[in-house]
Amino acid sequence: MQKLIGKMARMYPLFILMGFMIVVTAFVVGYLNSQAATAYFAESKVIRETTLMAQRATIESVGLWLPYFKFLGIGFILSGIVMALRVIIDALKGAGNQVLANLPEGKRPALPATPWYGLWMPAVMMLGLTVFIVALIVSIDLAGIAQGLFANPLPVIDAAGAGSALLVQVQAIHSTLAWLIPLKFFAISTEFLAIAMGLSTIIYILSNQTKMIDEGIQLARSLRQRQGKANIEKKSERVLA
Amino acid sequence: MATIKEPKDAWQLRVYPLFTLLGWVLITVSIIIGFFVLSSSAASYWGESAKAVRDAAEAGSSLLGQLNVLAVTPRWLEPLTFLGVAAFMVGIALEFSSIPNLLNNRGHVMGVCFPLIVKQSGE
Repeated sequence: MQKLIGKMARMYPLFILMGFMIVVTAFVVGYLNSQAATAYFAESKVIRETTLMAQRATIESVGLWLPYFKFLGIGFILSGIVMALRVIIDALKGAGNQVLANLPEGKRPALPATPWYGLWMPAVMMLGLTVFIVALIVSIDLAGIAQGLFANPLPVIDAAGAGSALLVQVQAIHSTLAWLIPLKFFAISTEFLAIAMGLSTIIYILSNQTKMIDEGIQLARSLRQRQGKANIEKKSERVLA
Repeated sequence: MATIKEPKDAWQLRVYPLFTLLGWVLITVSIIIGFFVLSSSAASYWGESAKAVRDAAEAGSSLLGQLNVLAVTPRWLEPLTFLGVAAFMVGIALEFSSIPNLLNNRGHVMGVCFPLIVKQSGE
């Protein structure tokens, strides 16, 4: 499983590119939406609210799903960074193994196991990406509701009474947005958590490898000192003889 | 003979979990407020009364109370959420800032290691 994750992590440039393309696309869509809004608000209030319903519906619905699409792009970029950290972790472990492979098998110290946060890092990253995707799906659903709602003239929406279908749509949009906005920040924080876990793993591996080299040096020195003492004793025995 | 000094204790590594935890707590608080306070207030305010009733709400009424929650809460909740994101970023920056010291120490250890290797291969 870990090998498979390691192989997949090498695709990190693709994730970063995909994320960047999504953010660029979001910018283009946002610009086009602003142009539609310019044309819409150039008309008088009466015409806007009674005849330009399709334009209003498009402007409102795009405004609902576009932020979550942008955040998905950011999510892909952050996931790419987490995957790049995983590649660094694998490279560090590989280098450690390569160094130790030069020692005789019996004297080879065991490399410390990857800490739990290093093992959980890909799962946390995937959780963050899943939350981004869920938020986008919910926002697309809301955009559909907004399309239906704003297909009606504004005076009709304003006159909708309690329990009417129109008011239920208004309620759905407002009450969902209230938790959907913090949800996207939750997704961002999950990705940040994965990055923090990856960095902690790198720091753990670097510290342990340095400690291992340090211990190796101490061992070599003590062996050399013992060898030196033994040589001196042999020489003095020969002189006495 | 060159000696290996113990690396300095990196204060960043002791502080960064606090920032990460702070970020996690702030963002969890904001999502809980979004779910349980804002969402239910929005559902009541927008779904239970027609616009004419909402517009006619008088001071002290529950409708105006809900409007107050919906208008006021996001004004401090959003900066709080950003504070959470910033706390995460500070934590990550602290982790990054500890890496140069680790690499310096590694370089020092390798510097002590190489003469030993050269001596060993000479013998």
